Amino acid sequence: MILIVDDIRANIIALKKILEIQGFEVDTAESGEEALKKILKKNYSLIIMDVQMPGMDGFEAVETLAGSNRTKDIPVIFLSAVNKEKKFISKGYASGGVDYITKPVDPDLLILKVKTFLKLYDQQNELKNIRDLLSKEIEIRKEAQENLELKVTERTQELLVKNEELEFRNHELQQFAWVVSHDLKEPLRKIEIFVKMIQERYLKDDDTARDYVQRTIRSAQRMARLITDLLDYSRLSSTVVPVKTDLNEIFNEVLSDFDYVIEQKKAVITIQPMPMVTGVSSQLRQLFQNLVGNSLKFAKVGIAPVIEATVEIIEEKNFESKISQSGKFCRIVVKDNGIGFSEIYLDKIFKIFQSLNDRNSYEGTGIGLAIANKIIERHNGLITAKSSPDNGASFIIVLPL
Amino acid sequence: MRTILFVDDDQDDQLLFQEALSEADSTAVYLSATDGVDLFEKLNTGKTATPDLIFMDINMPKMNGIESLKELKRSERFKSIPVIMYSTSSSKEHQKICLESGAIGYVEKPNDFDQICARIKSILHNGLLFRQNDVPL
Repeated sequence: MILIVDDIRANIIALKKILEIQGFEVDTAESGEEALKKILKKNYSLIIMDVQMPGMDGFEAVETLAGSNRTKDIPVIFLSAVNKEKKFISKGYASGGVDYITKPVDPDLLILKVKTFLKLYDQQNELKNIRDLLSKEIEIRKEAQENLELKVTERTQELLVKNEELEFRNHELQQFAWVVSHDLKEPLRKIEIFVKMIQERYLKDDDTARDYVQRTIRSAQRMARLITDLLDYSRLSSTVVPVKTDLNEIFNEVLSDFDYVIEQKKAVITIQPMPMVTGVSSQLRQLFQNLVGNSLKFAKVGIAPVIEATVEIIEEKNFESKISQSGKFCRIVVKDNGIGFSEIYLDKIFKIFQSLNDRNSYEGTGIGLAIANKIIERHNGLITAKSSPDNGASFIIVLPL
Repeated sequence: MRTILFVDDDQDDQLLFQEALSEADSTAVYLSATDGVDLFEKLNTGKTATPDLIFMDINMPKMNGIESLKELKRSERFKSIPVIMYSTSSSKEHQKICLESGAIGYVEKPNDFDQICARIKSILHNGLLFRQNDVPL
């Protein structure tokens, strides 16, 4: 709706007619004061304002409008018959008018101007609405983001607490395993000592009794070894930092540990030059100790063990991977000529407490390969075996360099 | 005649040690305490003569071997008594702590009576047993 403000009623009527013919809705006011009252109550999209009026003149009225947020954006066209000089026109624009027209008015031009300003006003409003909408949207997103960040922080905190708790429990569990195994070994040590004393002091002449006592001692020793192995297995859970490790040194140490057995069984062991790998040397040593130890342990009766460790640098973490000098992995094969085993047991041998062989002819607790498997897991590697009964066994390992 | 004080809560180990000691040195006097608290009670009240050497277990109730060792070394009266720690623990960490806390030796409890005798004999006969005024440590 357009508001026409003029103190001369004839002017109003003429202007109103022109606009109404064009289909505009028109309201009128006959003084600055009346105009302000109306503008307070109603929304106008354009004001055509006479400059010279008794009481509040057009400039004053528009300055008042500029002071209110609701009305400051309504476009005002000043219309004047008397004040045609430049200073009045300047004042009109300065007070907030969008145009300053002098009489006589060309109706066609006036209509065009009115249409243009109305359009501008609409567009401005539209932009304002969009801006409001956008800032509201931004507000909403900001809030969502803040909520999300809060949630993430909360979750992270929760996870940290859980993690700490788990670490604590893990530590506690290891402590527990240590204490339990220590306390379990203590009575075994006593059994061993006292039974040995009985054997030496009182059973010199009774072979059967000596044999029974010998079996008792062996059982106690076997149980002690079992507990030690279990303890080793549980210790593998603790975290250690991997470093560059020379596998040649590891193999040398392992072979010197087996010095006595190798000599006794007349074993022939050949180790190819090995690469450096990133790992925990004590664990890698245990891994190869278990593998070489197995090969020595499961030799055919009466046949000297022949054990071979070979290595290839390979492209990817895969048993079948292609050889590549620039590869990031190595494939190590520990091969023997022992009693072997049927591959149907392959998934069993790496699990804890799965000894395939008859205890009387072969020593061992069945934990060795489970330990090997866990060490390989902790080194991000792979382990498997190839074998058949009576045809020896090959243990294949893939380790990152 | 030497006085050896054995501190261990395990009665089997006490029995074994006592027998092994008399076999290693038939003139040696055997004294015992069951833990650190008992040890200091006996030493402080004079119920037990100040020994020439203490063998002490680590894992004991009330006051363990390492605490007792440190306490002995803090005491003006008893710090000159040589102490050998005697434990089933094969932990390198334990051994290090014991030696750093003032023990003159660390013996892992053997699984064999003859080994216990041999250990004690070797310690008693090969000069590991110093009295405060004999040889400076």
